[in-house]
Amino acid sequence: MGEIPVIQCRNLSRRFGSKTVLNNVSFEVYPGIIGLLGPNGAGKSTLIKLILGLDIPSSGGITLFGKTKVELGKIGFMPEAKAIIPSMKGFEFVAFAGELEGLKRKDALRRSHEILDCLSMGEARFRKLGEYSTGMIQKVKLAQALVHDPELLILDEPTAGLDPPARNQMLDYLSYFARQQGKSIVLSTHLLGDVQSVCDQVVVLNFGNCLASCSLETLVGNKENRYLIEIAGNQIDSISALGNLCIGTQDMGGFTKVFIQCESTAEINHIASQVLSAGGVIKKFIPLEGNLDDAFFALLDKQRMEKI
Amino acid sequence: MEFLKSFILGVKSTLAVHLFRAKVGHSLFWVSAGFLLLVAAVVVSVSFKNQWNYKTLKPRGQAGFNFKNSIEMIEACSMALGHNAGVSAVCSAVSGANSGLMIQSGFPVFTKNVVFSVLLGFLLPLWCLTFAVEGLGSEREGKTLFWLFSKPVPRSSIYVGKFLAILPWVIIWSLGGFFVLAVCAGDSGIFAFKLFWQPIALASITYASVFFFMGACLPRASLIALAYAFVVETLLGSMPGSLKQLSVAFYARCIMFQKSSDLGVVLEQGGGYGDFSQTMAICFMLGIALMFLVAGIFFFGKIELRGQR
Repeated sequence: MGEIPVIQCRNLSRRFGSKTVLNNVSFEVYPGIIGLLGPNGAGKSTLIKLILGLDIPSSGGITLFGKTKVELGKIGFMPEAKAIIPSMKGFEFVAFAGELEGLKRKDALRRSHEILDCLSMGEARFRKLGEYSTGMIQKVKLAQALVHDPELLILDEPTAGLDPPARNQMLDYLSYFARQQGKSIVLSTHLLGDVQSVCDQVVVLNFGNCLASCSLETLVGNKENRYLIEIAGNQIDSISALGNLCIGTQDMGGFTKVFIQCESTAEINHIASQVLSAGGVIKKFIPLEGNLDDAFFALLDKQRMEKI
Repeated sequence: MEFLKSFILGVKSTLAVHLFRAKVGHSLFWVSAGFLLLVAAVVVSVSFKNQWNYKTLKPRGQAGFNFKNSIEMIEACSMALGHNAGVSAVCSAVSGANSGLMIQSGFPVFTKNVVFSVLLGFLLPLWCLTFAVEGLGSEREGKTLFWLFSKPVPRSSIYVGKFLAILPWVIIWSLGGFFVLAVCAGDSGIFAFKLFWQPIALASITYASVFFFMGACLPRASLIALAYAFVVETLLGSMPGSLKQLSVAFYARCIMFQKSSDLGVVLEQGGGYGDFSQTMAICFMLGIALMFLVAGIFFFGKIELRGQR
C-alpha cells in the first residue's frame, strides 16, 4: 500500500496476572474503514484501551500514524457504553467534548452545531440527553467523537441497539466521513454485516490472538475454487480425509460445514468420493460466495481445531 | 507548561459542566434530607416546650435535683427561714444567679446536644458523603469515566475539577442544614450558627475531600463511606480519651470549644477540646483535606479501567 499505517501493532501482549488478554498481536492497518471483529472476550476492548493509551501493554508496542506516542487529540473515540450526562443538552455535550479536546468555547459550540447539522439532528440538539432515543444518543456520541476533526475515529459498537433504518443511516455516516472527509475509522463490532457493508480492512481477534489482518476482499472476496460442503454421517473421518484442502469448519450440531480450497474444478469429484468413502454424507456441495460470516466462523473454528 | 495548560483546561471544563449538575435525586440525598427533617422536628418540639436551657438538667456533680428544683428549693428555704434579711438576701442572690444561668443556658445546651452530638457526630458526615461519594462514583457507574479518560486532559484535572464542582454543593447543604436546625431552635440556635458556621464549613470541606477520595478510588464507596462515618465519626468521635482525635469532628469541636470559651462559656469540660488551639485545629483539618486530595489525585491517575467499555 506504500502509506504509513494508521495503526501498527508489534507483538502486543497484555496480561492481567496469569490471564493473557492479548497474546503477541501483530498487525498493521491503513487509512480507510477498519473492522475490528471478535467474539466477547476476544480482546477488542483491551486493544482499544491500548490504542487510546489508557492502558500499558505488558510487552510489544503500538504506533499510530508512525508515532509511538499516542496523540489523543488526533483520535475521536465513541465508547460502547451510554457515557452521556443526562442533564446536558445535545449540543452542549458535544461542545463540552470539544472543549476537553482543547477547542475554545466559541469554536466548540460552532463545531458542535456543524457536526449535529451533518448528522441531521435538527431541533433535537436542544433537548436534554436524558430524553433521547438510542439512535439519537448514538448520533450524539458520534458527534462528540468528531467535534475536534480527528484523523482517526475509534467507534465501539456504534450500531448497537439501533433498528435497521437507523443502523443503515449510521453506516452511511461512517462511509461519508471515511470517503468524503478522509478519516480513518476503526469499527469494533459484533455485527459482521456492518463490517461487510462498509469496511475496507478487517482485523479478527479471538482469545487474545490475531486470527487475520487483511483487506475485506482478501478475507471474503476471492472465492475462486472455494467450496462449502455440508457433511453429515462420519464427519470427523471425512474432514481428516480432506487434509489440507480443508480451510475451515463450522460445527452445526447434526452436521458440519466444511470450507475447502482446491486447485481446480476438476478436483470436485475426487473430493466428493473422498468424503463418501470416509463414511460422510454430503448434504450440500456448493461454490462459496463472498460471505464474511462464513469466513469469520471458519477462522474461529480453525483456531479451535488447532487447539485440539 | 503543556501539562499546566491542559490541566487548567481540564479543571475549567469539568468544573463548568458539573458545577450546576450535582446529582440531587439519588437515594442517599433523600436519606440525608429525611434525617434533616427528623432532627429539625425534634428541635422544633424541644423549642416548643421551651427546653433549650438547664431547667431539666442537673448541675455538674450534683445528684438528685435539677436546676429548676434547686431554684424552687432555695425559694422554699427563703420562705421557711422567715424575715431574716441576711438569709433572704443570700437566697435571692443564689436564686437570681440560677435563673440568670437558666435564661442564658440555651446556647450551651443547644451546642452540646445538637451541634456537638447530632450535627458533627452524624448529620454532617452523612450530608457531605451524599454529594462527595457521588462525585466521581456516578461517573464510574455511568461509564463516563472511560470516555473522559480518552480526552487529552490529565486525570488529575478531572479529579480537581470535579472536586471543586461538588464543593459548593457540600458547603451549601451543610450550612443550609445547620441553619435550618438553628432557626428551629430559636435565638440560642441562631447565636450558635453565627458563632460556629466557619468550623462547620471547614469540616464540610474536609469531609468532602475524604469522601470524594473514597468515591473516586474505592469500589463500593457508598458503603465504605457510610461505615467510616458511623465508626470513625460517630463512635470514635464520641469515645473518651485520645481516640476521638482520629475523627474530623474532633477538630471542629476544638474550634467551637475555643470560640465559646472566648465568650466565657465552657462546653464539654474534660473532652480534650481545649488541648488544641484554634489554629492547630484549622491546620489539622486543612491538612487532612489536602492529604486526601493529593492521595486521590495520585490513585485516580492509576485507576485501571478493567470492565469499562
